[in-house]
Amino acid sequence: MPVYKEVSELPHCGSCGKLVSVGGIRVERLGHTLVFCTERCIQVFDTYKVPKYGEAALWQESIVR
Amino acid sequence: MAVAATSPEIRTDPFLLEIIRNFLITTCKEMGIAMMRTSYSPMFNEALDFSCVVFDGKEEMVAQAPYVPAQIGSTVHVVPTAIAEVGVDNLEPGDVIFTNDPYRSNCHLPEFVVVKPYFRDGKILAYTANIAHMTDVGGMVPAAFGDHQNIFQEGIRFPPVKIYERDKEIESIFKILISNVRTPKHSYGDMKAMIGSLYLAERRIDELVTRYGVETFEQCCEDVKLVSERLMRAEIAAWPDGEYEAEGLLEDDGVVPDRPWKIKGTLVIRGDELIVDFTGSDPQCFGPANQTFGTTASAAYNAVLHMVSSDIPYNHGCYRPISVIAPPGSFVNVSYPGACVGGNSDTHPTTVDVLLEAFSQFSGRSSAADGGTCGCIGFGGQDPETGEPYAHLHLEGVGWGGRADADGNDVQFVKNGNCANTPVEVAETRYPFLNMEYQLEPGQVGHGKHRGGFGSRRVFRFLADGVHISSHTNRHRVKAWGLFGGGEGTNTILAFRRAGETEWVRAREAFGSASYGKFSNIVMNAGDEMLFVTPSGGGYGDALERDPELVLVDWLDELLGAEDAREHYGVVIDTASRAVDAAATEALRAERRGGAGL
Repeated sequence: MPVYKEVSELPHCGSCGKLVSVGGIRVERLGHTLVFCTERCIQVFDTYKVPKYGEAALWQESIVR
Repeated sequence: MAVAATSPEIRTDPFLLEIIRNFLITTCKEMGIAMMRTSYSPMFNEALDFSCVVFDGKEEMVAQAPYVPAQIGSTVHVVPTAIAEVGVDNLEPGDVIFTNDPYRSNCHLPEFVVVKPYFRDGKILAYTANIAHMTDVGGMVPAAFGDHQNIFQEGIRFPPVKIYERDKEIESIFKILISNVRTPKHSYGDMKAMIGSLYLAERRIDELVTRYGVETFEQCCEDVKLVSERLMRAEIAAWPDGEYEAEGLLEDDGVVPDRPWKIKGTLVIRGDELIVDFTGSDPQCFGPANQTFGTTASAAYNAVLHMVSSDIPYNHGCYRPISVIAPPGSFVNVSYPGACVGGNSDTHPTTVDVLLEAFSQFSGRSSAADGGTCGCIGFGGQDPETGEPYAHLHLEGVGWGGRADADGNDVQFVKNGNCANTPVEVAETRYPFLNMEYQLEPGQVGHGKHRGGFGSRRVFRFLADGVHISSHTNRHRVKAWGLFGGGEGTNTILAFRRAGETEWVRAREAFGSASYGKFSNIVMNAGDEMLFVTPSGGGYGDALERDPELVLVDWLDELLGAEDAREHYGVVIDTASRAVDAAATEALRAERRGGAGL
């Protein structure tokens, strides 16, 4: 639908979980292209979430499809 | 506060910085006053359920007025999201953006957000914005709060759209909005009050920029954020590095009976930065108790702000050292189409209390849990005099938790809610009910060295048939917890009796609802009554350490019985002389302490 994308079609930041409806930063992590809302969120993902949770740090909602 | 500009990176003269910072804060306050004076509904002009902010051209908050902290925290995210979705390049002078979409970092559907760019010489220098609680947003119940199971039942949702273009209303948006709510005149008037305050703020900022120049204004915006960021980082750096966990329960979601929902919060302190991690919280619930990302982020920010000096200027700089982790599809970050209207009213304060419990593991500034509900009860129906639909949202204060240096506040709106009490006279003039009783609820509170605050007791009598009552209230089963040996608070009571009956019956027994506190469209008729007792707060510290004179004051105020004073505090009151029996108290407390050690 060109006029509107429902929020369920949009990704969430891989670190904080916020909906990223426009823009975002795409990076490769854990074998997937993930979206993040800021550089700070990427840093939290790399230095806190992945060391603490391992594979469970990955949210399906953050994978760019 | 006086902000010292000693760092080479802070370039603005410190006196000028204070002048401009306070000018912007005053502008936000003036926005609120304008909304209060020009709005139609009691939610605006009595409860003051709105917040006003100024963002700079980088879409970062530089000033706010102290209205509703729960809303303000979400603006950090929803305002930039709304701007991004409409597109900066699509904005022109005189445009206003509007959204109420909870999935886009707003708090819930009733919070309407409007944003206006301020242009100077063709460039956006700032944004004026406010967020305000609309009484009715359509949906299945008047005034929005009930036991909804999805967003469609909650009401009408607007993604970010322009509602003004070049100073002219976009009629189609207004038509869609007011044709979908029960109170079109109020909603239209309140929207115009919101937008009018944006224009007022824009004029003030224009005066400021005209006086000091664009460059100075922009530098000041940078510097006020930097000052706040540094002060916040200094506070965090003083805390011990480590991870501090706590959990709390929201008693039910209004859909699944007796199934509590867990909020888990972990504070991760690393130098001068803080991560607030909600991993481990329950999946999103089936009812409307879910929090949005914006609500959860706001709860995290506000919990931290409770723990630091109140001298720190509140702006984007405060939030920079704080990162939030809220898993999508969880109780703290609802996914479409999950319901979420109550997440902002009842889950938010519980989330703050969970984080305060985590803070209590290393800080003496924390507090026991509070009553944990905004007491949201919606009234609606056909006005017996005019025949027009009406909707009213009742809010109620609760007892707050005791803290290190004081008792909990009595009957005050929950932490970060900060709404005012709508006067009985105003409500009774506008809506078909009377307040037969309204008082502090004496008796049990969370006992402690600093006791929890008292809740209230109110009895409504309805004057018309067909009054629809819906509710999203909390603490009917799970009480406010104490800290450091303090006792639990008390439960909420919400009960009904038909005209002529004497027994109070709760909603679950009377109407078959899944929950005592979350239900939709119970119908009351003339002469029927409703009892609403709000919960007290948890206690802080050992009750045997409470100053006996404070126990006496509660007894003199008829809030505590002499037997309760003896049982809970080990204080013996000589009721004849209306004084503490010091010797008997000392002996009783020594016996209790000795007994406890055996």
